[in-house]
This record gives sequence, structure tokens and C-alpha cells, in this order.
Amino acid sequence: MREILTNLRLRWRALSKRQELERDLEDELAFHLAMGEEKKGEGSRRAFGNVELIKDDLRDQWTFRTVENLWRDLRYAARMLRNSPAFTLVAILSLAIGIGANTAIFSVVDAIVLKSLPVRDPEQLRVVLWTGGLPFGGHSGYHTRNRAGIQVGSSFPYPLYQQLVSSVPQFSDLMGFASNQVTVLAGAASHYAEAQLVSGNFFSGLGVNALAGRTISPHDDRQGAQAVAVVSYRYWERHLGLEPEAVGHTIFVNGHPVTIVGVAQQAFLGIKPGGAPDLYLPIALTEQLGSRWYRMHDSDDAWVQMMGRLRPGTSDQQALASLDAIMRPAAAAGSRERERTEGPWRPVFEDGVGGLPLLRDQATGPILILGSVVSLVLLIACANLANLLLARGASRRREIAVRLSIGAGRGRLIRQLLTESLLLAGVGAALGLAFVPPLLKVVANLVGSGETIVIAARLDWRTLMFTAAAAMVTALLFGLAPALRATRVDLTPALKDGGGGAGGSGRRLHTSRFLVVGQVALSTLLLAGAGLFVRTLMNLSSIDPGFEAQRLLLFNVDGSRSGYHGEKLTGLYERIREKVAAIPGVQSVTLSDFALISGSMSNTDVAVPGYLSKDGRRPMTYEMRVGSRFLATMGIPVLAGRDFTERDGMSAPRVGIVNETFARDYFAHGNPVGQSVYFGDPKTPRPEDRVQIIAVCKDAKYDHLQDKIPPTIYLSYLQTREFNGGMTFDVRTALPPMAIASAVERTVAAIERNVPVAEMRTQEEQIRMALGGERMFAGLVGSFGLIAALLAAIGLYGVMAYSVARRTNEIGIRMAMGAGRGHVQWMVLRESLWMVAAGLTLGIPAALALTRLVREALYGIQPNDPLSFVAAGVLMAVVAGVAGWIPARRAARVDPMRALRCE
Amino acid sequence: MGENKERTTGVLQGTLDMLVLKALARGPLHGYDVVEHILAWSGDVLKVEEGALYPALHRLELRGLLGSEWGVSTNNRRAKFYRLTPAGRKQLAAEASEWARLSSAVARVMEA
Repeated sequence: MREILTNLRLRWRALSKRQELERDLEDELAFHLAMGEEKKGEGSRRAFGNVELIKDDLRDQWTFRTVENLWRDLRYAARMLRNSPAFTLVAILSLAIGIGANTAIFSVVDAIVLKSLPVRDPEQLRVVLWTGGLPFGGHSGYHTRNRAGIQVGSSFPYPLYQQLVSSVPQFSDLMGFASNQVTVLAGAASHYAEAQLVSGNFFSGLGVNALAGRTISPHDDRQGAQAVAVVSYRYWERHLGLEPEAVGHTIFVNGHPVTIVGVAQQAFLGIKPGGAPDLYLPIALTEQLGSRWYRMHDSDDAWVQMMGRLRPGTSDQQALASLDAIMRPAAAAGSRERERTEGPWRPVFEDGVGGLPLLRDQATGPILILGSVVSLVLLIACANLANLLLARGASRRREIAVRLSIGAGRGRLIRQLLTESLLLAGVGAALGLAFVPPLLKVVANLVGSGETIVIAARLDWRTLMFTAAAAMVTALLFGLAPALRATRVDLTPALKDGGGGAGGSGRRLHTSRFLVVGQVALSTLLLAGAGLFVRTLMNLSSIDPGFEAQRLLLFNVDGSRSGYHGEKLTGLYERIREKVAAIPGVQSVTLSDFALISGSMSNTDVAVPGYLSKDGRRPMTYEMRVGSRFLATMGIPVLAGRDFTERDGMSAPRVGIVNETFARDYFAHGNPVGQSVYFGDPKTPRPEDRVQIIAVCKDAKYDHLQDKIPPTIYLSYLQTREFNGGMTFDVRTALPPMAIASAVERTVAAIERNVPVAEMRTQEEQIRMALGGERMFAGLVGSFGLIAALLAAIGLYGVMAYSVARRTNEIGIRMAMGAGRGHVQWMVLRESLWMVAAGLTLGIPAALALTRLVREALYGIQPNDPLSFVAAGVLMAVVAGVAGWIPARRAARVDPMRALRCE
Repeated sequence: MGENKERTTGVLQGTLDMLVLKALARGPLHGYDVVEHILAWSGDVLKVEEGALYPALHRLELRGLLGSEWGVSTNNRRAKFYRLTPAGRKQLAAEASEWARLSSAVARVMEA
């Protein structure tokens, strides 16, 4: 080590005093020679050998030869690239797109699949899940398939969690948590926030510290303890202005005072990738905060998710056995009916190193598709560059031959050429980084399928390492073969020859043609894929939703978290409805549980007298609780009967409106209007379970545009017992909807300051959001397809232009011998067309084989959709045809006299 | 580089460093005297090529085994004098004992 430091210090000194070093070397050797001559006379100089060579040798020892060579190479490369700006521009842009896109995808993959949670020893963490038949009545959480393909669920009853905490010795900590939306009033403004309810050992068990203040401790997680919260860094930044004094402040969560005791580490975005909670609250506060779903003491309601930290030296099997020993009796106490069909209820583990596996699972599909697309684009860009470099290598044969003949080593020249490639790739990658943030946003939306997700994907060192590696691999991929080829020069003819002469290029053209065919094939594949996604989007956009989506403003209000319940809550909503309806420009207002085409849905069993399904079960219907004038406001045509009014309240008979599908499926032979259907438990019927049908309306899309419209019943929300929860208001306007947005906010604030208006958007935006995934797929794959086609065209143009230049002589002779211009043009064009045809012949079957893999992402078309394939083929042929036609025309303009004189 | 190897025996690459260190063990010398010393002490057998000497001197200097300074030679010329650093002294001791072990082993083999 010391030796290295001494070495560097000495070399640095030598380097910084370059002239002094030269003089010293000179003097030292001169002294030696002088001594020799003095003592032994003439002749000693000859014995000494080549002074200059020794000096070179010594100089090399003192200076950083490799670094200096690299620097020289870089400067030379930069000069060469500046000399051919068109080539450089195409190269850098195509690399920037290719590397940038790959970097963006990588950082998303890294954030949600590869990266470990920023916690202590994340590899010890296990997500505790269950499989088999759930023995409990309720489950709030997620279901997914784990890696083994088994259906797993995530949540456990709180009493069971408490029992497990102290009885699994293999876990040093077993953390419990659940997500909940809350309303926060901080200062004068209130807003909705994502809360994570956590057990007292959550932070200490994970090993996450507070950036400011402290984290939640077991002491906070007790009934009767003072209510505290830890906020995320993101929330601290967005809502508390990064004020250090925020710690110690009191905010109101669902109307209850809670003291902020700390800010979590900036890197910690929660344990669900993409989730990013705003605040963490002790799980003991759950009921106090008036949670709508979670009941702490109910052993029949599963809602707590668990993650355990396995003690070193214990095995998964031991821990699972301990869990199972407690879970089995709990399961026996619950209902066992489902176990018979779905197998025994038992615990399973999933690796917790990257957090909850949820997003990872849902993101795999889109990421695979996008990842393949961007790798293909990069591959095409590489092929293109390799091609351009081959052509350049040919035109630089003379330069290279000269350098070889004056003694440059082949290795040295290859290094020089590769330096050029590296420089290109480096600049391309640097520029590509500029594409990453916008692409990241798009891709993040895509994997979150509309739902806002926060991923820790940003330009960190891992991403930069990836980019650097990508650039390097890319440079080798496109630079190595041309460099090897270019330096394999037969000197004599190359030196004799004037410019880019004929000798020895036949094989080069062969390689180029092969590359072009490959590019055309890959581009056709991408274009066909793009066609499929564009057609899917078009199909989805042209779906008639069954209601008038234009001029409809939507916004959400939830008064239930600000102390409103039951009739007080409906009273608040009715007041808002009336006041908003009075805003100038508003034609009519209604409200519903959730927006149409929002992906949310609710369904239930229903008994229809006189209707028997084949399996003897009660039929299923989708339901939606809505306000008065729902059909009129949404523009759903009434086929028979009347719309809801404000008189359909608690004191009036319960009424419902069914859609056509409901009427057709369950009242095949009669008019449903005036008939009744029944909800609830058939064994213990209650009077309020009876709902009288007052109208039949036309079918309207419910949660997704692409789904078949299910049997649906609309109910008056005013008739809901113990009504609770938030509603979406639907406002039909005469003006562009967003024009009244601020008036709406003022109106609601004037009625109740503590109830915020959230998610103001138009119904059309809502639909666009719902189509977000498809839209982005079509956009991304489409753009990449076009870029790829363009690159292929450039490649084709390059090869043909070079070929024409090379054959100018031959063409001149042909024309002198009487060949017509049309003939020559066709001769050249034919060559391009051959390459295109070969590319298509390879590309289309490949596309047919591969597009089958994206079947699930398509709507209304088959993966072998003829239109998409024909369009891709034609587009590719036209673009490539144009690229081939330009050199062909140039060939036809060759002046035979001049061409022949050229030689 | 090395063109003439007639008169004297060349010096093995590995042993050159050791010989240079040894030559400098008694005190600072310039390059020419290093050659002279080695030649004299070896009874005019070991002639170090200048083409090998100077690279070796600079290599040892860069490794921190030798220090150097410019001074004036006996005939009033500007000359670069090399001297052993403590690290160089340690290195010499190590190489000397290794050499003794090796050469006596070789000698034993040849006498057997």
C-alpha cells in the first residue's frame, strides 16, 4: 500500500513537471555517456545502445502511459466524430434512445423487484401469508399467487396476531400492519392521506430509524396511550415543508388529535414497493380513529398483515411449524366450510427482502413486454451502428493502412477504433439519462395500472452503473466487429487505391446486408406489436360506455372521517349536492359510491322471486349506491319507470333501478318494474332487505370499459342503514367541466371546512386514466416501433449508398454500354427490395410467434390480427423502399463519362 | 535493445535489482559508478547493460526502494545520485538471504 502511494506521488510529481522530467532523463543519460567517453574513449556510445529507446522506456515508467494514450485516443476520436456530424448525430441519438429506455426499465425493475428494503438485514425478513380455505368471515388485504403459483392471502385477525407475536420463538420480531386512508387536518388545510397502522415493534423490528424525533415504540401501541404518528419523509416534505418543528406538532387524523413524534428515514418508503404511506400510526389507534373496516377484537375478521424477522440459525420450516401450531386451533374455531374445497388453512412464507410481493407480481407482465421492446430497440440501434461503422471503416481504409504501414500495432488501432465506439456510447448514454425521468414516470404509471405508485426509482448509483455497463456492452456489440474488420487490411492495394476502393469489401457488404435484414426483421416485429397495441387502444376508446362521458365533472368527498355518520352524513352530502347544483353552469348533480369506469366495484347475492339459477345458488348482481337524478345526470336512458329523487329516503320504501342485463337475465318473461328483489340472509329476512324495482335503464359500463356489462342494480344511497363512507359527486355541466372546479371547491369549503374535496377530474379523464395502461403501451411500443423502423431505414440507406458509391464505375460502364437510367435505378432498388423482403420474411413469422405472448394485454383483436401485420409490413416496406430509392436515383444520375474518368 | 553480449556475462533479470541495491548499500552512487562497482566486485564478470540499468534504477525508485538527488560528480558534472531508502535496505536483506538459500541449494545440487 505504501509502495503504491509513493509510486503515485512520484509519478504525479513527474507528470506535473513534465519538462523537468525530460531534462533529468536527458542529463542522466548524457552524464553516463560522458563518463564512458572520458574513461574508455570513443566507441562506448555504440556499446550503450539506442539512447532514445532507453529514454522512452524510462519515460514510460514515470508517466501514465495508458491514461495518456486513452486521452489521446479520446481526443482523436472526438475529432473523427466531429468530422462526420450526420453519422455522429444518428449514432448518438439512437444510442441515447436505446440506452435511456433500457435504463428507465432497469431502474423500475430494480426498485420493485431487485432492490432490498432499506432496513437492517432484509434477507432475514419473511412475509407471512396463508393459503387454503380462509376460516374467517372477512378479509381485507390482498390475494395473489406466489412464485409457486399457489393462491395466497395476506391478512390475519388482530387477536390471532397478538397471540402469534409471543409464540413464534424463531422470529426475533413479528411485525403487524395494515393500510388505511385517513383525512388529516394539519394547520388550516385538510387532505386525504395514506396511513400505515403499525405494531409497536414495527420500526425497531425492521431496523428503521427516525430522521428527526423518534419512531413508534411498543409503549405507544397500547390502548389508552397518547396518540402519536411518525410521518414519512415525503409527507414531511410535501405537507410540513421539511420544518424540523413539525415534530411535536399536533395534527388531526380523522378528527382525532395525534402528535407527530418523528420523521422516518428518507430512504424508507414503507414495506410495499410502490405504496409509500404518508404516516405511520400505532395499530392500537385503529378503532379510535374510526376505521371503517378494521375491528381489533373480532377474531373472525382478518385484516392485519404480518412480516417476521427470522432469527439467525433458524429455518423457515421451524418457524412455519410454530405458526401452524397456533393457526390450526384458530382455524378450527372459525368456519371450516371453505377448507373442504380449498384445502387446510396454513401459513406460507414469501421472501421479505424486497418488501411485500404485491407490486412485483402485478408488474411482471408489463415489465417483461416493455423490457423486451426496449432491448430490441437497443439491439437494432447496435446493428445500425455496426453497419455505419463498417461503412466508415471501409472509407477509412486508406487512413488505417497508412497508420499500419508506419508502424502502428493492430491492437493499438483496434483500441483506437473501440475508443471511438466507447465515446459514442458514452455520449449516447449520458444523453439517454435525460430521457430517463420522463420515461420513469410513464413506466411507473404503467406498472401501477392507473393507481398512483411511488417507486424509489431514480438515478442512483445502481442505475448509473447499469447505464455505464449498458454503454460499454453496447460499444463492444457495435464496435468490435467493425474494428476487427477495418484493421484487417491488405496494405498495398489499400495504399495505392484512391478513396473507398473496391478491393476486399465484398465480405463487408455481405455482413452489412445481413445486419440490415436483421434490422428490418426486428423492426417489423416491433411494428406489428405496436399495431396490436394501437388497435387495442382504438378498440377500447371506441367502446360506448352507455352514458354521456362528456361535460361531466367528478370529485370525491368523504365526511365520514370528519365526524359525520348516518343521517348526519347523508345530510352533509345532500347539502353539497344542492349547493353545487346552484353553481352557474351546472345542469344537474348526483353522487355515487365511486366513479364509473374507475376499476372499483361492489357485488352481492340477490334473491329474485321466480328465478332459479342452474346450480341452485342465488344470482349475483353488481350494485351501486347513487343519489337522486342519477340516470338523468349520467345520461343513462330510462327504458321504463322513473329516476331516483330525494324523496327516496329512509322513510320511503326501498327502491332500486336495474339495468337491461339484469332485467333480461333475471326477469326473462316479465316486466321487472314494480317487482321486488331481496338482499341479505334468506334465513332471517328483514323488511329492509326488500327492494322494489322502479325502473329499467339501458346498460352502462360499470368498472372497466373492456368487461361485459354485468347485471347491475342501482340503489338509493339515502336508504342505506347506518350510512358511512365517502362518495363521488358527478356534476353535469353546460361549460367545460374544469371551468367550475374552483367554484365547487369554494362551495364545499363554505359548507364544511374540515371536509376536503379530492380528485377533481372529468369523467373523460377518469376513462383515460382507466385506459392508462393501454394508452401507454400503445404509445411506447408505437414510438419504439417507429424509431426502430427509422433506424432500419437509415441502415438500409447507408448500405445502399455505399454500394452505389462503390459501383459508380461499374454503373458508368453499364450506362456507357447502353443501359437506361430506369434499368440502373431498378437494378439498385432491387437490391434494397431483396433485403426488405428477406427481413419481412423473417420478421413476420417471428412476430406471429411472439405476439401470442401478449394476448392478455390485447382487447378486441387476436394476436395474429391481420390488419396489424399487414400495416407493419407495408409501413416497413414503404420506409425501407424510400431509403433504398434515394441511392437508386443517385445511381441513375451517374454521368458515365465522369464515372469512367474517376478511375 | 541489448545488442552486444559478447564480452561479459549478462545479468539475470531478477538478480539485477538485488545487485543494484547491494551496490548502493555502502553509500550513494550515480548510475555509472553502479555499473563500475558491480563490474569490479564481480571480478570483471558481471557487466550490467546501461539499457537495463537505468530502467532498473527508475523502477526501484518508483517502488520507493531508492531515493535520489542531483549532485555534482567528482569531475564537476551534474549527476543523479541514488541511495537506499530504509525500505530498500529491508528489501536487500530479504533478497540477499533468499539468494544465499538458493545459490547454496544450487551449489549442493551441482556437487552431488
